[in-house]
Amino acid sequence: MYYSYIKKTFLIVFSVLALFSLINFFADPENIYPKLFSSDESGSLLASYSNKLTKSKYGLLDEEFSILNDRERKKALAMFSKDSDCAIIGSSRVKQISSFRDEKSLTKNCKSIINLGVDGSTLEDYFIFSEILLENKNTISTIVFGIDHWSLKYDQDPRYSLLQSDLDKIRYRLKISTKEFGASSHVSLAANLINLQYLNLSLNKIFSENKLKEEGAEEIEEIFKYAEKFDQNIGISGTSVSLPDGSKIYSSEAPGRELKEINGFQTYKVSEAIDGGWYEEKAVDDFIKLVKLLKGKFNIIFLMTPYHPKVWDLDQPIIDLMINIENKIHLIAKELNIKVIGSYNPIKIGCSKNEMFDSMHAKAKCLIKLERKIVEN
Amino acid sequence: MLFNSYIFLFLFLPITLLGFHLIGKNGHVKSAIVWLISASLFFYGWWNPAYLGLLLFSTIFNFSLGFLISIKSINSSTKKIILTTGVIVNLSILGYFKYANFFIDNLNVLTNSNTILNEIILPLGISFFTFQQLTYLIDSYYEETKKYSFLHYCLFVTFFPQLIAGPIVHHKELLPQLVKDTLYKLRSKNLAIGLTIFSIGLFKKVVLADSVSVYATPVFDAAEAGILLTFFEAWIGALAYTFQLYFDFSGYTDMAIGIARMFGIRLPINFNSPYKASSIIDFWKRWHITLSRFLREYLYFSLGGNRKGKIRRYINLMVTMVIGGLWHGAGWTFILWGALHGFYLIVNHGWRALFNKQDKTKTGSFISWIITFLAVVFSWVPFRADSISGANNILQAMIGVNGISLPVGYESIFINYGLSPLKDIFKFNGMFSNHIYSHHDHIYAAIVLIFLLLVISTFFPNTKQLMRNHDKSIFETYKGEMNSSLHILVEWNVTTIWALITSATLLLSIILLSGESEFIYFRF
Repeated sequence: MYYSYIKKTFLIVFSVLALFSLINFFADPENIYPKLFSSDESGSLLASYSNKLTKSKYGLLDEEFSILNDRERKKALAMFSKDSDCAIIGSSRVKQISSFRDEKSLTKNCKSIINLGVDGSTLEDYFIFSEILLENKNTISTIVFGIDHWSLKYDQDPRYSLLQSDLDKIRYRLKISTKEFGASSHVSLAANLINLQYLNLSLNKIFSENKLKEEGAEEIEEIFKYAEKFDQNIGISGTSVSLPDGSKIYSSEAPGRELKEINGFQTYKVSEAIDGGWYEEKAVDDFIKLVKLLKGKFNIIFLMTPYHPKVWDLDQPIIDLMINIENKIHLIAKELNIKVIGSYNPIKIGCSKNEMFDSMHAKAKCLIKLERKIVEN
Repeated sequence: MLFNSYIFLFLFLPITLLGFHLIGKNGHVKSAIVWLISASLFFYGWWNPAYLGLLLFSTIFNFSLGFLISIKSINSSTKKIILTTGVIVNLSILGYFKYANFFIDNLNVLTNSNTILNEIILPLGISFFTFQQLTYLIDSYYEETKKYSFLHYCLFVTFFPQLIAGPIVHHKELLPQLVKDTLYKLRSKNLAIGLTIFSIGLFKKVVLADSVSVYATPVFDAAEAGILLTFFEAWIGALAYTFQLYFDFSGYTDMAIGIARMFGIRLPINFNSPYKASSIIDFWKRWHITLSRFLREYLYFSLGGNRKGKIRRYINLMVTMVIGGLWHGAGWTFILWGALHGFYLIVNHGWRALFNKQDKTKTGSFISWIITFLAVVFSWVPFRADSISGANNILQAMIGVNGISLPVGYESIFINYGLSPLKDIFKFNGMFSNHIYSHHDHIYAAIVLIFLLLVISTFFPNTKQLMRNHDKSIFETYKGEMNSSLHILVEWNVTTIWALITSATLLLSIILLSGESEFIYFRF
């Protein structure tokens, strides 16, 4: 009787979990799991995307569930882009930085930018995109690292694991042990198999792919659609746009978020900040190793983009921690003789609340001011 | 290691159960005990192996003293010296790790000095395993303990389900179970009951407590930042925390009881629907039952209890509750919380002394319940706040010191309906004008969730009531409320429907586990 009860309970629980796992593993909307059935299309697809993007007049529409993930698109750009002198590596907070759009950023330091910013970028992404730039022939002479307050710590977001092979290559090149790199990523990946949000993405992907098939997109490249001429300050309704340099224009609906999200920042990861802080010495040492390696071939710049003025007014522990991180970045830069542009502090940059999308993403109007004031420590 | 983590659920617990089963089925009792102790030490050391040394020292030290005290040839004055040494060493260790910084900080304020201690890391569960062993030591002195082997004692202290955050298990409850050789065999009945209790606890923690916590934290953070809260914001924050704490801690306790039961071990209950209490005295019979039992039996009675007249009784109550507050943490907020409950108890006992003979009507019972519930909600504010000023900000807003702010358009309604004289009492800046929550929908979600949790905690049967026919308590800590027809209707049974319910609660909890969160009581 009791045995049967246990059997039934476990059978139901594990059947449902197994079903979730299978859907998430095979649909894999973020491409984070190894593929059991690999195709040789991926290389040509990357080249095709990069070619189409860089030659587009107004950019490409970002289909929400495109065949290429954000990181793959930026990898394509890093591999095949030929005419730029600057590459910017960072998170969504640098995605607006552009030399293509009307409001150009970093003009004093860069003639032409490729923007390699990806959502949820972490320290691991610095290594990955540095490796791709080192590996491929290109015209890049300057690498700009958009450094966030969480960037000097390992394993802050598992999404980098899509490009794990590039991470492994540079780890070997720098002789960094595997202990820190992706130490818990396997556990995170396993746990993600039963993640409800990921299941939602997976199901969306499955349904959107079916829809594409029904619409009859014969060539896979047809999925990448050109943007028509549009006002960059407004955006296009329903979709964001990747400009030819990889920078991003949000959809016209996005910039309405302004004040709603500011107050949520009051508690933004404060507990995490208190519990262990935001940087690890080992991570900093490894990052310094990376920069020293890159300095042999590239000019390096550290960049910090500002937060919303209201966030800075909060007088929360998080602000003290950000100031500490900013000081730390200046110390590293001083040690390595590297230029620092920008600050987390919007007052130093002169960015107003109208020049922010939300608590942590600055608009191009704000970003063009970054070079006006070079913060000296 | 957290009970609500994938590592625990999918690796640690199954491996420990499997090892226990494989060893136990062949009758290797000692090996099964060693296996459970090893697993418990691994569980404890997972967070920080450095803590292990202290736990082992404390266990060996207390067992040795208890052993010495129980030797009949030792005279009573020597036994008293051994007991005193034991109590002093235990309390000194607890005092150093938990209260040294608090003491130094206050000394600095008083003497205007700037003494700084090195950072002291609070070992997990130190308050729990210290108290647990103190009871053993004291009872050994009064010859109320039997002789147990070191292995049994070691398992009594380290047994992982209760090690970090209780229940504070009395040696009389656990040790007699551990010495039975028949215990060390996995049984499907225990596994089924344990699994069900565990799934209810996990659901309470992950689905209920963690969901409502997002509405409490921003309010308390805003209060600490000095933001002038509105009446409604303060109440939402205080109520959200009231339910977060209950479902978090009682969820943890259910998980601990459920896990222990999987191994065939019965732990005492710690909660008996405390928010159903109709007086503060009643509340303390239902909330953190094992702690109140310890405080009553080993502190309140030692101070003289109610045997030395009314005034001494009230003083004893206050001292006990303030120390109970300090047990939770080294801070003035905890002292204030303890003092508040001491005051409540004094008022409650005084009231009873005056009006005890009057029978309560239904209305009277309802009013008593409301007063008790509100008193408890108020007391949780200093308990949760990081500072006295933060607590003060919320409490002031809750009693309307900052005015009662209504929606902007309501001013005209007041004027149109001839309520102008009342207009000055209210402000019309919006009920949630500080925009503490990131989205307006969150306010409605918070109100709905708080209401739902109020209904669950006051009308629904608790875990023990659901399991009443299958998990009969062998302890004195649980009594009453077993006869409601609703409780009989929803009583647990080994049926397919209950297998479905258990599966659903487990599944939902596991799926929502992605952001593991600590239990509130881990820090005590």
